[in-house]
Amino acid sequence: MTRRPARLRARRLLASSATYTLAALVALVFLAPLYLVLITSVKGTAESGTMSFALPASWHFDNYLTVITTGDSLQALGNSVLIAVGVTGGTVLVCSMAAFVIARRPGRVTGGVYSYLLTGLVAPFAFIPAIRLLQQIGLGGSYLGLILTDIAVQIPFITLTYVGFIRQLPREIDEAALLDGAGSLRLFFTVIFPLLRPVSFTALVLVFTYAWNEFQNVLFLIPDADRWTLPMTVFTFQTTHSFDYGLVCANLVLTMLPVVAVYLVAQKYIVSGMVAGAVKA
Amino acid sequence: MSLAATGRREASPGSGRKQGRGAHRGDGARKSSGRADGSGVVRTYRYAFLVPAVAVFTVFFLLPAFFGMYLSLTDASTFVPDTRFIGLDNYRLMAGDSSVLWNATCSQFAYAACVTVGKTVLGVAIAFLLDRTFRGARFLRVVVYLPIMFSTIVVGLLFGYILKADGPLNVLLKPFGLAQDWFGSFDLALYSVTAVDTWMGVGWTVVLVLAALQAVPAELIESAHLDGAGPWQVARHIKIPYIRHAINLAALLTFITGMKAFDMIYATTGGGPGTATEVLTSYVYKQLNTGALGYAAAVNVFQFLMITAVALVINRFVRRMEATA
Repeated sequence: MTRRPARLRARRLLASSATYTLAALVALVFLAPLYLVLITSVKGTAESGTMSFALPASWHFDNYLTVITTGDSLQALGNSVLIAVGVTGGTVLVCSMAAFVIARRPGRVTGGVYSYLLTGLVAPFAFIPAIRLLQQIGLGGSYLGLILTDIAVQIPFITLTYVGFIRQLPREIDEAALLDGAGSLRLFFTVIFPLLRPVSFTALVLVFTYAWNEFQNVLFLIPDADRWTLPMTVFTFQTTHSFDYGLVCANLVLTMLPVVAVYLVAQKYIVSGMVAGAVKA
Repeated sequence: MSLAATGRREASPGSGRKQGRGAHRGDGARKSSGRADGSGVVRTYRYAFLVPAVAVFTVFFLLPAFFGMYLSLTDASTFVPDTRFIGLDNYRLMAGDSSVLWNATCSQFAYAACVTVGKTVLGVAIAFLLDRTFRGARFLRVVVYLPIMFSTIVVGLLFGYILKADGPLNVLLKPFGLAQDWFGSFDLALYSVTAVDTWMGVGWTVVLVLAALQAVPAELIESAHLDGAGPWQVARHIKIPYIRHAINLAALLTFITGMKAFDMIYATTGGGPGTATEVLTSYVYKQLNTGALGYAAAVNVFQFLMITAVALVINRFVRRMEATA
């Protein structure tokens, strides 16, 4: 009688220590690279060269100041903000509007439009011809061309998300607003759009991080380095400062910071957005 | 992110797992709204609302694809503005380069397969770990999801430093005789890049699998325990079958994304050493640097058709799995 609980306890102890060991291992694998970049970012030129786990002999927080003042970081930050805000705002606006009509007015036209937009989920974006196409319509290498392209890439998925959500909203809401004499624009912007807040927030976070991190379109569509986004300038910065890992790492940290902030604030929405997105697929 | 949409299954955002219910409720609401039908619908839900999305999508997403087919039949160059129609010459050139293209295509498939195996196996394992209750589980979840948010370029550069021949990883491994030239070796480079990609993206698989795991009904697990099943048996016979759909889905979507992978390779090896990690897009990029827009467009058309075909096959697969599930 006494043997059994003891064995059970031993097994439980074994299981929980295995859990903690594995958890520690996983944490190590994910945190060690981040620790390395953080610690190297405050090391001096000579010391950072070996990129070790050791704490710095002297702390060089001025690396960050150097990056901000010498590189194109500020210009690139401005570009990133402009592009990310433009893409996010544009995508949320055009997708929620289209999804509203698709969800509310089922029929051959809306069904056809919906299927048409969804082809973008399967077909890859043809970036090579996009270069010449943008040139020919006068948007070659411009912010606007890149923003509209990024929006187009995001339209299928975000529209899908909105349609699913709007179909769940009761129609009585629309009818009440219509009885109050609201037109279609007012109905949408003052009544419906505020109700879409949960899905808009998810879309906001997903599209913002996409636009912030997006690389391929910037590389191919924007030849002018002055218009590059932060992640792109990390590349040029690395080539010019390859001798000083401290500076390069400080630059990497500065580039990661905004998305880490967004992530910590909006974690819940990101996760629900990813789950919803994949289940829909 | 998700590419294989079937279009007929919209989930309710937020509680994405239980799609069926949301759709039904939508149907019910539609039928009960007798008043808004007829002319009211036409005035309220204007087609004009569709125009911005359709216009932007058409001009900036679909038009390039068709324009690319035309460009691939010309001698367009990034340096000279005027172009000449040259028929199928670019495609003949491609056929001449077939060994290079074949190599890039194979690398692309190998890359996609490695990333899929890595992210799925580790993702499922980490999801099972995070499904247990222990101190720090929430923190660990935050840590595992975090790299998804980073730019591929940033992660690629960071690991470029860590995996250097004299980098910190090799310093750790040297005493055990395991130091390698991770990105410089012809045999290893492709696997090293997929490992970095896995580090970055495994959290996405974890999100999906963990959500499915947490939806396994507690009664199922309890009754299995009462029947005397140990944790391994519960995992194998109760949990895994229950979450198989999520695992399959995550794996298939990872594969499609891997078929388009370029950023991570560009940021770590740039296609090298030699052509050891050259995939289709890095080949296209190289061609573009020589100014050969028409030829790059032809390769792009090939890539477009191949990815679309793979995506459609996978889409088929997902649908069939759904039908049998």
